[in-house]
Amino acid sequence: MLHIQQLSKNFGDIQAVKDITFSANQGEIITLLGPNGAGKTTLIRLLSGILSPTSGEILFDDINMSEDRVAALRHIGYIPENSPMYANMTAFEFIKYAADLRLVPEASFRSRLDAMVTGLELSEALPRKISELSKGFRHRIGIAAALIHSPKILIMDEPTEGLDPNQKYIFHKFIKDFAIKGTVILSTHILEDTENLATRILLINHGQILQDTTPARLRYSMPGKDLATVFRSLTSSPITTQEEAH
Amino acid sequence: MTTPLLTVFHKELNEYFQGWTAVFIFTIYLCISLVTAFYFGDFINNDNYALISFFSFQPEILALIVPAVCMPLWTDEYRLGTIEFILSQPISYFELVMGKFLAALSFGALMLLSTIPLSIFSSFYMPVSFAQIFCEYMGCFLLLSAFTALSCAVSSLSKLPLITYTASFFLLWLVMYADITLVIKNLLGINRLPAIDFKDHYQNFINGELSLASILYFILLAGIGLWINTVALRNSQYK
Repeated sequence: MLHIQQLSKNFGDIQAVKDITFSANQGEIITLLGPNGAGKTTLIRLLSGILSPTSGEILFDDINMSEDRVAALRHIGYIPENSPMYANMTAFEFIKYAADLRLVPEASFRSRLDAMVTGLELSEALPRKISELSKGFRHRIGIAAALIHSPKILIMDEPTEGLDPNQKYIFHKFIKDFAIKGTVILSTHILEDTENLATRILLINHGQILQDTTPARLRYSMPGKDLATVFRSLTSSPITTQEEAH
Repeated sequence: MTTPLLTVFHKELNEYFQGWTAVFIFTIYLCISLVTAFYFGDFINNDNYALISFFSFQPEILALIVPAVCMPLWTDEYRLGTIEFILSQPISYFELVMGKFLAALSFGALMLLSTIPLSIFSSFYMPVSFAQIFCEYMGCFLLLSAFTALSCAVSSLSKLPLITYTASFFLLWLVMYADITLVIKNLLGINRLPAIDFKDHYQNFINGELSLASILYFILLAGIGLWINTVALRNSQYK
């Protein structure tokens, strides 16, 4: 479904993402786990078409993002960190704007919107201005806008930052339901998200993948230690990529 | 059938008419235009069969207003973080740029249209040449297109509104007053040059001439602005 080949991104002299290669398939929930400044957000922005790579390729099925960015983006739903939105729009207008940009037909829009309103408990928020909504509602509106065109891949940057436990519960449930038919890639440094959601973990630091593993295997690598301890020991040590570790 | 370009166009045009933005800009534009025409242009005493007192000041007035109209188009997207939303949508950079440009240009065109009553009222009190006035409006519209495209380009380069406005204002005044003829004469020693400066082209429209060279000059300026905007967006190192 998604293939990343030797992806790199430089900002001047700084190499934010270094030679990353991985694939993602249907049914997977992949968390990009790493400390602040590890390169997670840059990688997420490369995958969502906001940044162009310095080198390497991003392939959605057979569509190369560098060659046909617009066609590739039709398969993706993206939720940026803090769900930035146009504050003077109503929640409905924002979702409709996203749907129109993605050429969602009116009939499909109505049925998709109904499903979102039910699944994300949005009925109360829909007619209200975005500036009047709580962070939790804004977040869910962001999810609805990202999924209104039924994408195959959902990409999220720090999706649960600032959400209360109830909002996190609704979010986790929704993402698990989506992943039955799609692929989810989310960046986070919140271990709770990883433990509750991830079927696969890409541990990232200094722009490189340190480990491509599962939550169970990661814990098993240091028996008796919790995920937080494993995370600290792996990301605070000098860079050792998976290949080098083998 | 709607397209992503039209969707962006509608959204941006609606933004101007939400709240008091449109009323404020229209009021300022009309006040400055009328004050300059009547006070500085001595509208009553001059022979204004073609409203020359009004049209002569339009480049300076539009150079003041257009940067304010275009400033939020990209600057706000960067400032509010919605640039991440819009760039992740399946719409080409050029369509995005054109959607925003056409919205700002339409707003500017409405601003120009709001001055049409001046020519109608004037015709009650003196003979007016509607053909020449049409040429002048054409000139103003082309000038507006060029200024809008250049201001949009500047807007895409900064997330600080004050810098965007100031840089845009400076660029438009440079375009208006740069004496390219003099520069070419001094640098290349060519003395016989066709009129290539901004003021020459705008003056053609004021004189009632629809010159192809002048039309192309303003279209070229607009094209340069749109090209810079598209390139800036494609290469934005949003961090």
